[in-house]
Amino acid sequence: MHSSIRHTAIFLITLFLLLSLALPYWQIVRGPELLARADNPRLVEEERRIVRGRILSRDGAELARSQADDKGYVKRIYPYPALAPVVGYASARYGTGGIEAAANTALRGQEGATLADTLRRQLLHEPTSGHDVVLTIDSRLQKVADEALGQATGAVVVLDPRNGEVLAMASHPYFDPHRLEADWERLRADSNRPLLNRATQGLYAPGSTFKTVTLAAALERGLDPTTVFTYTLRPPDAQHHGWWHVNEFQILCENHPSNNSPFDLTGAYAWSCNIAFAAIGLRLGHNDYVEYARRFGLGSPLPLEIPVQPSLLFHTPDYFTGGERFYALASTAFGQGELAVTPLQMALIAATVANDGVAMTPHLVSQVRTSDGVVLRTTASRPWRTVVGRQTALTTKAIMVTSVDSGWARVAAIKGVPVGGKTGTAETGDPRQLPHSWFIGFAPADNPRFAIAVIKEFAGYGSEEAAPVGKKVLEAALKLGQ
Amino acid sequence: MLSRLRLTELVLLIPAAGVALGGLALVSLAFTGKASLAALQPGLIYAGALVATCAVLVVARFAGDQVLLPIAAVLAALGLVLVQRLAPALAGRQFAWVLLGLALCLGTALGLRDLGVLKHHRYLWALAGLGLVAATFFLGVDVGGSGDRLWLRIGPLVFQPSELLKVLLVVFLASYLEERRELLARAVYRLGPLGLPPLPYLGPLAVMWALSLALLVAQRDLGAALLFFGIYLAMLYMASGKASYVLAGLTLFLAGSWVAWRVFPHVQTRIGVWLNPWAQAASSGYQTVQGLLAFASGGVFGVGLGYGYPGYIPAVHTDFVLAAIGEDMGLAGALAVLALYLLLVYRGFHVALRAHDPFAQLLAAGLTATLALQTLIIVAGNLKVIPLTGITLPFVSYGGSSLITNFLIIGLLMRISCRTGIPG
Repeated sequence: MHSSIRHTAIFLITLFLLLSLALPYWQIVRGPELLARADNPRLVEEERRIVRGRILSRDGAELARSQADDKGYVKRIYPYPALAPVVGYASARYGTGGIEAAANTALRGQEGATLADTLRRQLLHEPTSGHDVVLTIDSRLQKVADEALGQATGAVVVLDPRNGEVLAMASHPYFDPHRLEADWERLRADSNRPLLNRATQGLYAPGSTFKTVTLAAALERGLDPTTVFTYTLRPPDAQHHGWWHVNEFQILCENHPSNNSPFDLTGAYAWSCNIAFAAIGLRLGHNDYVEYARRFGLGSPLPLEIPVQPSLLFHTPDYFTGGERFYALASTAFGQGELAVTPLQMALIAATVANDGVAMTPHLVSQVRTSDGVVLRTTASRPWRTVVGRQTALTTKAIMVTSVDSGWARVAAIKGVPVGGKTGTAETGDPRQLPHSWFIGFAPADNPRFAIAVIKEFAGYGSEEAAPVGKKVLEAALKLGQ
Repeated sequence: MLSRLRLTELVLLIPAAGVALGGLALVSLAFTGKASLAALQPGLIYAGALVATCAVLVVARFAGDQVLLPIAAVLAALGLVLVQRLAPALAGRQFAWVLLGLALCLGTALGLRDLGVLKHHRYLWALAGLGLVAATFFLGVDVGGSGDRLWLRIGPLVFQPSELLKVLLVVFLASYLEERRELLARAVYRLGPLGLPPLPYLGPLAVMWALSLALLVAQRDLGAALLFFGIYLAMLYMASGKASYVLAGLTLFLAGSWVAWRVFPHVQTRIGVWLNPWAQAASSGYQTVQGLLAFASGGVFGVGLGYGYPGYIPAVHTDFVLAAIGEDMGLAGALAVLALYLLLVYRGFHVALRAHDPFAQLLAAGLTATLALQTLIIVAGNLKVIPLTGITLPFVSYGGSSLITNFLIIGLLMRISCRTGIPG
């Protein structure tokens, strides 16, 4: 019996040793593969416990902060929900959007952590506290922009032309980031598209505001600003008042003087004469026109931390070369054609003119700092590209000031401060809807610190709808800037 | 003279007290951020109880093994810590059961003067055990919420009779087989290459075997059924020294498993989950998959006591406590726990081999094999080496019946280690 007990003991102990091999198999060999499984609850658990850093405005207001409950689950609080299109959301189920996505590694505290830091944290089970992200947004100016836009569907973008800082960015309607998970399906299905940041991703016909690009391109190509426009298209017939003709196509211009006192270039811009600008476009030729539009940024996404739609000069491949090419060039030159631009693009165009022809790289994040306030990185302002020469920019600027002083953009004039600007009333191709109402501008014109683009969708005349919003925001910006 | 003071035991009990106190402190720190005296109180009482147990053994001039109790005490301490960590609401009860188990262990080691009481009343013990299990058919309650009524309620206490049946059947087998081992070792009939013992002598054995298995299968307590099967085979082999019995038994087992697989849907589910839990990771395979995820999450050194998420594993504090160890304490912790069981089993067989009396020898070996097999079955089930069956990890899992029974086994082994034969 002695030996059979001994055999049994050896047998059982061998089983123990063999079985213990299954431990490293699951814990080490198969470990990484198993942990990556979507049904590993630890992924969600850890996600829900990460104390993300705050998102702050340049004036120190909290735009997002984290609050942990007694179970250690973290809730994200957004004290300024109207900034949701910019600040975005951080959801365990739907991921991240906006700055929450763009600065994700910084907000999670993973940026700038050394290996030793990480190891020490893990060993002592110290919760990783995320870094704070400071935006270029001024919460006070943002508030003014949101209020000025009101219930309208549309967007406002304010840039500092000198350095590309985005000072305010409103997009209406917006969503409540606190209710994102509950409302997700409804928000996605909503035809008003509240999840879309209209300022960076909304594409609109720019209308007359785009004449600024045509103007700058023509000046750069040597057009004398005192040129009086004798060039006319085939005049309208008696039955169709206001319709002019390019070849067989018709162009509407309600601003063209039908008497015999033609506009000079400044007058044509200030009074927004489609006929004059069609003529300028045709004179430039499509090669030069396309080149300048591209230099202003059309056709490629503008640099920004959050997603940006590239603005489009045209979408039909042979639009500028095919059978419609003269009409295409003429109508694009006064801001219709197939143009589809973002408010950010239009604000950058105004800023470029204001900044002597140099477009500064637009940016939203100014600083990343630890929760203790140690600055980890600061965004330097960098020129994005030189679009037109200084002289061209100065002339364009002067003409834009005239547009506010004595043209359609008069509504945007601010007492005691020179303002440059242009309104736009963009046909949408939908005859049942009012046109989009646009305004772009900058102030103070002698030393521009603020450039703006405003759009109100399907709202009517630019001078009646968008320009007053632009004025309100610029006025507030000047006051805050004192 | 020094061995009279049981210094070895006393020194070895220090780690047990350390595991209880340190573990409770870490769990409290992880969950509340501080380690208060109130949180450590059970650990302090436990340390005191261990010292007192050792002191009583010294005073009673107990001359038995000094290693078994400390190993069991470390494991039980780990159990206290893990129940506090996994199911704090049950920690008080677990603590009470551990103290009761220690007392029972002490009482058995000192009080069972005559092993003959066990040897000579084997049918009484076996029938008592079977009767208790049978009673669950009529009076059983479902404690775990698994749908199986495996428990008996006695006042405020619930008890799982199959746990006690385990020990009682080992007693029966040790007594029965010891008496007939000469005959069993001698092949009388030949069936092909197999030599069979005189069948009449196997009769009562086969009846007990069949009866207990039938009971457990009918109760759907597959883990216990598997364990009993293993115990029978191990003891038959140890008594007879004939490997052919084991082969015959394994053949029977495979045949029986096949029948069970064909007949019982719940067995089919278990096997299906074992073969591929990933295919049904959200339904029937959930427990197995979550268990393996917990192991994987632990890595080499674990995420730290109290910092993992083993709570996602259903029945983690009873059936999957090793997975919780694997997650919180990693491969290092899980291997250490397996090493403790290895030591316990080694020590148990050591006691068996040094016993003078054949009955004591077989009893000690049988009880040790029981501990070993139970540990192997649940660990292998947790690690998807064999199909999962719901039995406890001795001393560590939550559960009073299991704790009491396992402490009883330690008490019996300690008693046998005294090298006093059976009078007469």
